[in-house]
Amino acid sequence: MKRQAQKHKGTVELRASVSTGDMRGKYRGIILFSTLMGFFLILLIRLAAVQLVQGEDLREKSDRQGRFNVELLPWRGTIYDRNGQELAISVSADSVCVRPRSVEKPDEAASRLVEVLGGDRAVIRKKLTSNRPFVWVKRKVEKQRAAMIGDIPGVGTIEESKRSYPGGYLASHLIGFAGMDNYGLEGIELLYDRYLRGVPGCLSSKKDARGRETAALRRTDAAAREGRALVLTADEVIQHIVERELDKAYSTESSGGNGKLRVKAVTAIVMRPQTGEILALANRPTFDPANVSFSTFDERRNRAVTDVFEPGSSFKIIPAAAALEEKLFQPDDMIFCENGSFRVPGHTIHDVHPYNWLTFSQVVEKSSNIGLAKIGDGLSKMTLYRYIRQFGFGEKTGCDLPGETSGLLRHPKRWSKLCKYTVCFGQGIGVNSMQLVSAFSTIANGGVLMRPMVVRSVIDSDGNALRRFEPEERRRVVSPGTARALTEMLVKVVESGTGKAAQVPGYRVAGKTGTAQKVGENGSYSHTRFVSSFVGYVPAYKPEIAILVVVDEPFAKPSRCYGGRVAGPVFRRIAAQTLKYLGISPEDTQRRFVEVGAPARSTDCVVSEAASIIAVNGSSYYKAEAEFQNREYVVIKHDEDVERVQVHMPDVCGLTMREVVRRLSPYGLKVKFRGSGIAASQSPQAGRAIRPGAGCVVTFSRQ
Amino acid sequence: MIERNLIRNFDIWLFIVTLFLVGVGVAVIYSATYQAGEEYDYPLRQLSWAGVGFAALFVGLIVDYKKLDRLAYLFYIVNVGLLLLVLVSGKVVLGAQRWLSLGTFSFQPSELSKITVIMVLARFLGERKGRLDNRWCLSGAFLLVFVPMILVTQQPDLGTGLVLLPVFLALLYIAGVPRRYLWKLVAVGLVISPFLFFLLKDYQKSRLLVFLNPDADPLGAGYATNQAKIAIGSGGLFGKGWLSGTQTQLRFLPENRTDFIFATVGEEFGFVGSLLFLGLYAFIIMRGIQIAQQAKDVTGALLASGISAMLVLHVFVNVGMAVGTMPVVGLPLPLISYGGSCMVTTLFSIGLLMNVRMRRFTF
Repeated sequence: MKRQAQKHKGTVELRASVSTGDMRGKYRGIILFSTLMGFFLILLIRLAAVQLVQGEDLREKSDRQGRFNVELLPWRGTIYDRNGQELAISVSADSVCVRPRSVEKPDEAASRLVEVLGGDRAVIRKKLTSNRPFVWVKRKVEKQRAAMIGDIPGVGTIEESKRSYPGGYLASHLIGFAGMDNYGLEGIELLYDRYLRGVPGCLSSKKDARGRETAALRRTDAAAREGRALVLTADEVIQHIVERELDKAYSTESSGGNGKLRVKAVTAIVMRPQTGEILALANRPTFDPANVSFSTFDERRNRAVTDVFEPGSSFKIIPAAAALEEKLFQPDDMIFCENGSFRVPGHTIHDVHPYNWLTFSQVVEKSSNIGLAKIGDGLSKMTLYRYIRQFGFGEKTGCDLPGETSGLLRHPKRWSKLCKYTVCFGQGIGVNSMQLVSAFSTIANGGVLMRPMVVRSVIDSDGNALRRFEPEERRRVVSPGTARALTEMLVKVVESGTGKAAQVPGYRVAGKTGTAQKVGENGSYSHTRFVSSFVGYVPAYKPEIAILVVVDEPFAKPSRCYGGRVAGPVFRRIAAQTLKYLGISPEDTQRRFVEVGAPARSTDCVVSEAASIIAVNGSSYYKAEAEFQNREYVVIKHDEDVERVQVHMPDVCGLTMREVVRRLSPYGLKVKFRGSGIAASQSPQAGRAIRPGAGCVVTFSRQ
Repeated sequence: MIERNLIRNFDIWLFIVTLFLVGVGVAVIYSATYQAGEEYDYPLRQLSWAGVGFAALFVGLIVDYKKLDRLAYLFYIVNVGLLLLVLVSGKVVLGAQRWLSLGTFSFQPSELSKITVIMVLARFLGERKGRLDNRWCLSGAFLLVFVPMILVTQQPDLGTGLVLLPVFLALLYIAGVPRRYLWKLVAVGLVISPFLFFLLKDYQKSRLLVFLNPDADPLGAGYATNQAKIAIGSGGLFGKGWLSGTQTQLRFLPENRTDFIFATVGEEFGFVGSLLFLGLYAFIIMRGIQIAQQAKDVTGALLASGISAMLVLHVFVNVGMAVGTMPVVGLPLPLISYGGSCMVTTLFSIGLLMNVRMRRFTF
């Protein structure tokens, strides 16, 4: 009340004091007040518009302002061999970085950094005084070393993962390598990068207006997800064996005419023929995947899939397969080999050793060019071409390793007349190592071309399989019968043909040598530069491994460059060690026993076979078998007499079934029983020459 | 001199609101200038200025405003002299010559000119009550405003210069000048203002252009406005909290302890906080108008109206700059912005307001 009265009185005062004399004093006061409050109203409306209506947008704008994202690189997945051995892992490393705006004493800091990290002082000083907000000084330094830097204002470390290859250069071409930013750049690291890389996380933080980071506002928006691990088909131990043997082959220096020279390159692949799994793959020269920058392109190239060479004689198996599959020839068919010189239109084909009559098998065995040319004669260009394609030449194998080539295979329309012949013995065609070993695996496994596999499965960090890769049959190329026949020929090649150097004691090896002259600068075949190869599989009739060895430009006398001489021993050493490692029981391969009673034809050489020989010679089957169990393999001594012993079918007529079994067991026959009762007839007849393992039918009847 | 009834009429609410705004201002400055290690530098200096300011407030209310008003012309002449001195030998800060060095601290005579112009106009118009139809009289009043305005604008301090004109208009209006004169004045002002544009310095021109088109140069002339708008807008309804405004703390806001301090207020206290601040100013203005209406004489009414108008214009221009309704002319937010001259002048003005109120019954 009192207040009201005061106010009222005051109003009167103002009115009285205003000299215009009219009653406008109060009015003017209200107008002024309203005007002034109008200003406030404007502000109010504007504030509401900015803070309430645009508030959300502006808040976002303010949030974004100065916010920067740092990608958190995920840890790259581990690469394991098939048994869980680590081939490529990620380890923690510190990357030294600098925020130049916070550096106080660039000279002192530079000195300290050079002291610990090495490098050029001027370069480091330049980084320290750069006007960028953030500069790497050195990436991925070992933690202890980074810790030695100590506390320098503006210099810090960021933990990063670094790719480490525990095996050093082991399987480097297969695995490849990843770059500084953990992206796969080569090999499986590149091929399966999408699994290995993982998902990057995101860290965001804010910079103030002067570009300095505000640590308090740092937040992790998404954690990085570790990459998936891979399990390779490769086996670390086999890989080791291969690497060691390639080292030997590569470092072998020849003191030939030109002084000390070195093999240009060596490649080896070990494949499981039944599945197409690559157990090992190596090349020389090679590189250290942890220090890629010190290597040359030549060293990093995965020659096994990139390099194309003329296969030479090892390719002869392809037209042979085609001819057998097309039933143009039987293995026993005789072919006249023209005594070493065969004129074809415009050219003369020569054999290294002249032959006259050879069986089809022997042509392959002895690697007769003329014989092969004649086999090829029976095939049309298109048929030959089709088989070559069927075996996987002229296209990528599908192993998908980076840099894979499809080789050089011209369409038959563009083949010259001579070309068809030369293709038959592996000239005028380019293949890569992976194709060649796949083709031989096809024969080894009974005629099915498998896709070469390098990865078995993708697993997460807990070891659960996310994806499994199954062996993939690409196509059937030849029938099992043809494959079997070819294998028999290839076994002969190693036993008595050009591939003797590849013999593995205790096992039967099927394989083929190849020697191709390289094309010189003048476009004609060189007489000093060769590619020597050996491809084969073992054990021949139950193959566990197919191995290819290619030696590029072995520096030796031309006569010593034949694939068998150069690549064969490498094959032998790899095969012997691998078979032992894989625990594959040796067979007895003493051929001459097998030939007893079964000349000309080779068959499975198994314990019972050898045992039957022993039995014939008065030893007991059981004793022989005992010996087999205790040793890797048994060398059964023999003399010339034993070889000529004819084994005859005993007479079993009139015996009971049990008696027949006992009577026949030493001979190692595959006996089939028909009917029941007393043996009434037998096949073969009593007194016929038999060979162990042959079939035998005994018919029983109740009389 | 101070009688009992004077003490009884001491406007305690106005004093409390003023004290509160000054206190909150120090807190806002603490936040706006926060930097580990030297976070107390600015708040402590501002506090000491506030101490001086409250002393000025009591000086402003102890002596009867009529007696003070008798010295108006003297103050005015001294002030003009100081303004001239600034132009001759002032300290240049941020490209403007506004400061006079007084030993360890410096002082802005342009801030002082606002209150001296109000005082001298109150005196001039108060003496001529009833004779304000006379154009000579109006011309004289205009001259009194024009001289300091030109001097201030030359520094350049466009903001202070421009505040003087509306204050002048408000005073003429309250003094009872017929409206036709006022309309003419406004019309003349509107006609010549486009030409004044060419007298502006380049940076002032670009600020005006940016005001008309805020997105023209977001990283250059429009940077401050843009950042202030982002800051205030991002405060939303309740703000980000004291010391938590990212725009402020990360120094995206330029001049956030002086001209753009309201951006920090808006960001950290939100719409609600901004409203509270404006409400407190509105309370002071309301009180000022009320005091003007209750004043026992024209001089008192003019003093109170002029001071109220001056405060409103400061608040309006300063907050307007921050929210984008006014071009960037550079005016402090009274009682809040960092700076001694403004603080002392404003508190002295509020002292005068209280003075007029206290003596409304004494004759």
